[in-house]
Amino acid sequence: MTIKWINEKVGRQLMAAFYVVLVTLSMSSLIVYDYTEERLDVTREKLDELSENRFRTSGLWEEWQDLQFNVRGYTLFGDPDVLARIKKQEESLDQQTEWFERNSSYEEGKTFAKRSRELHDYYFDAIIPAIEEYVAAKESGEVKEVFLDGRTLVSLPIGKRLFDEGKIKLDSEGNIDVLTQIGQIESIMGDYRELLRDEGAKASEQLEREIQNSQLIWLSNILVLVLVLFLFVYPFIRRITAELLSLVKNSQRLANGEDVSHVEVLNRKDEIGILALSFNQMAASILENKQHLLAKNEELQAQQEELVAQQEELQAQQQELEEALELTMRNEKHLAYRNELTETLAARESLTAYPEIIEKLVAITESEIGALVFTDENGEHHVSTYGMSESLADQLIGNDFSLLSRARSLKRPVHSSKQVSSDHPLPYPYYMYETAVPILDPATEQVIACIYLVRYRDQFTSKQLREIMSFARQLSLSILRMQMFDEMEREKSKTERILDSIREAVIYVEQDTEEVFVNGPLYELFPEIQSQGRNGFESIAACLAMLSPLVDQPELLERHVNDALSGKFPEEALQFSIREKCAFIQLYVEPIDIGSVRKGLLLVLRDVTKETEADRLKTEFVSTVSHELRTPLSSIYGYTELMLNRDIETPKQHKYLKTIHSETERLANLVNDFLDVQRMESGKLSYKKTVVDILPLFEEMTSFYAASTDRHVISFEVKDQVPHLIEADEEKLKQLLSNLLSNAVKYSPDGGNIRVELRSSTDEVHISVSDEGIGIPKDAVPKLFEKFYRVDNSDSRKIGGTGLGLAICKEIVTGHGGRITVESVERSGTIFHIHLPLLVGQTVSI
Amino acid sequence: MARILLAEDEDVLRMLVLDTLEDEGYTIDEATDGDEAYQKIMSETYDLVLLDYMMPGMTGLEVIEKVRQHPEKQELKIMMLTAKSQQSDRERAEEIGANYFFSKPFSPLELIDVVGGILSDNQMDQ
Repeated sequence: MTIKWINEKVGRQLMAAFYVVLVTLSMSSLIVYDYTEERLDVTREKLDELSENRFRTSGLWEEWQDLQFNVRGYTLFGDPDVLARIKKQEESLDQQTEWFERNSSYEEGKTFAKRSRELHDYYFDAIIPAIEEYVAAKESGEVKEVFLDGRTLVSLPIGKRLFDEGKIKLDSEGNIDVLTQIGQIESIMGDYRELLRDEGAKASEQLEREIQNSQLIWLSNILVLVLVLFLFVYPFIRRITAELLSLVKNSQRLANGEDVSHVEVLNRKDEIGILALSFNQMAASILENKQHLLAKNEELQAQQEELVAQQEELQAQQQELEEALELTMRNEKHLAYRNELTETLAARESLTAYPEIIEKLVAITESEIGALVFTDENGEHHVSTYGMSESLADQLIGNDFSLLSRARSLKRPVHSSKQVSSDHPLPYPYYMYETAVPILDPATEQVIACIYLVRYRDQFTSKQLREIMSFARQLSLSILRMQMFDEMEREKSKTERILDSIREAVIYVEQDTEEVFVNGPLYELFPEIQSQGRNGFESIAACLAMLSPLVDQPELLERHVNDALSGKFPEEALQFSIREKCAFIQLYVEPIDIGSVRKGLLLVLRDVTKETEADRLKTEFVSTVSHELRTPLSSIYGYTELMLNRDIETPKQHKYLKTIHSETERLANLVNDFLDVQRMESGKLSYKKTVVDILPLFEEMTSFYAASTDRHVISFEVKDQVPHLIEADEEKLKQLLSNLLSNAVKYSPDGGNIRVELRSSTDEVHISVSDEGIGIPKDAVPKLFEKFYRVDNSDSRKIGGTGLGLAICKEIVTGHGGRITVESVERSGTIFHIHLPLLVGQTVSI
Repeated sequence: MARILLAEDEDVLRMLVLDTLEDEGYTIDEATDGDEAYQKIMSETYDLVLLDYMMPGMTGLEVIEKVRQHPEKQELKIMMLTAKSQQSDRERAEEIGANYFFSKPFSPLELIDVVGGILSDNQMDQ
């Protein structure tokens, strides 16, 4: 099972091999390691032991040496401290010796230990007690020697016993024998140390050998492994590679299109085996497909051939269709031209359409050139051409023998064809086909126009000729209609001109359509209304809506117009004012009936401002005159009645008479003024002109006025002392100055200076009359010289007057070719300036 | 004697009325315009006021209108001297409180009669 599982994948096989090698390597390494370690341990232990022996040997020996010195020192000086040290050394020496006795594995070691024991026993059992006795004796003074003498020692009790026992021996000189034993021990120790050194060297050599051995074992182990690896893995990999390469080669062949029927199916269950298997399947499938494709290909080729055949057929059909389409388009274009022509004929309203008509005719009949020739009632020709030079057109009309003339005289279509020399307009001889079709007035059978067409290619077909004829009939109707239309337009514009030229504004409302027509003067009368042209208003209501805001009495106007619209015709004209009585308008409404049928309504608006103003002035005049006359008349009447009916004292009588006289004079002046104005109005004011030097004249008058007032200072001043000669009516000049002076007096009720000044320039004399009176309000200045105009304020009401004086002044100055102006500041005074032309050449004798 | 206020802007006419009535023994005050007339009416007591219709400042009508707003002047007799004898003006004047009308041009003798009549009525009333 496991083997099968491994065989399924190359990777698993590789991993298995790897694991085997790994395990082998680890095991062999472990074994080698263990062995080497053991060997090395043994050797190292040996070395350690040898080293310790050597060290302890040296230590023991040194201890012995040290003891010897201590014993000698004690013997000499008897120091108890040294004795204590010796006692301590006894124990240490005992233990060290015991170690050797126990641990030494060599013979020499054991001997060394034995000797050391013997020495130990000798010293501590014999020497030391004897020495102690000796030292004590020395201290007690029993022994009086500096250096120890063995014989003294053995003479002492303990020494004697020990000596006797043989434990202490004396040499021949009587000294205690220790050296023999010491020397013995020293030589033993030397031997032992030698042995130890040799053993150490041997052990080191052993260790070195062991290490070399272990290295060798390692190396051989690795070599074996490499060999194993090479022997097992390489063939395995090589096999796989070979199999893969074979597959690759086969794939390439397959890709190149070679027939790879089969590859060896390997007896493998892994990927390569599967790959080989699927490769075989693929190769088989490709082969099958290839064959299938080949079959298909053949089939397709057959189909393609069929398609090519079909396409050719379609192309043929398309061409046919294109031809048909072209024909249709041609027909369509033709129809379009016809339609356009018909439209032009039907809709155009003036002669400007004719060039278009002939152009279309040429297009429809496929002609080259064409002309439409009209003959008016005077026999004159008007021509509209297409593609024709002017000279050719002139030639066509002028020639009495042309085809055109023939058609006209025959009153039927005429055709001709002729060969034309090669010079014009084509570079080779060609035929020219002409046709001329007269257009007859259907009512009078008169020729009113003629169609003339020319083509070069071929003759007009009978169809085209029929078409031309039909157009000619259509054209005849159309031309008549156009002529009628033009006539109507002319009439219409004539009517409009007439309506515009009258002064009255006219609004015409069509009965049925409620269309509104207005004339130009309406917009002049009401400049506030944006001009909407003659037919600009949608309805009369819209028109009224525009007018109403301007009218002061809009309800009145609307009622009047609406009454008229609903058929109730007001008998009287309506008068209303506009722009707050700036202008007065009279409106009358007239129905327009044709037969008994109501066609429309005519509203006529007349500007009656002047008439109204004249009426108003007349009324005012009458009222002013009656008022002005009534006052002097009243006083004259009253005083005369008093005088007639009462007894009155003389002084009072005188006073009454004086009043009556002055009032009569006032009355007379008034009547004169009125008469002057009346004459002025009718242009009958006449001047009896003579040459007058105005200087003495005015000087005299000024002094006269100066005498008649005591509240005013009236002065006369002349700036240059030359005669101021003018041609004038002396009486009128007097009246002029008199009016101005009496005004100056009248309008300066609080008195003040009144100055008359005279100066002259080269051609004019300038007279100014100034006062320091109440002055004239600014807004009154422009109307000041109008008849009956009176400044309307409380000051002026207090001061009576007819409003005629300045109007007469102006009339007189104008009548003498001069001008009068005024400058005034309210409440501080007024200056009147009069400029009169000087007489040319002042040398003229008076 | 009765006191009369004469309001008239025309000097000559005022003089005429003055000459006419003074000789009859009336005491006459003068006013030359509407404003003056109104002030005098309000400050003095008159038996009769002769008021010109057309005057500078306040017109005769305006003077009447203003005077009649004061309760103590309701009984004051006012006669209008007017050139405008039209019916409409008279109606308007009567409406606001004019008692009598006298047309210009006038006869002094007639004026004496009328004034005398009015003032004797007055006395009789009293």
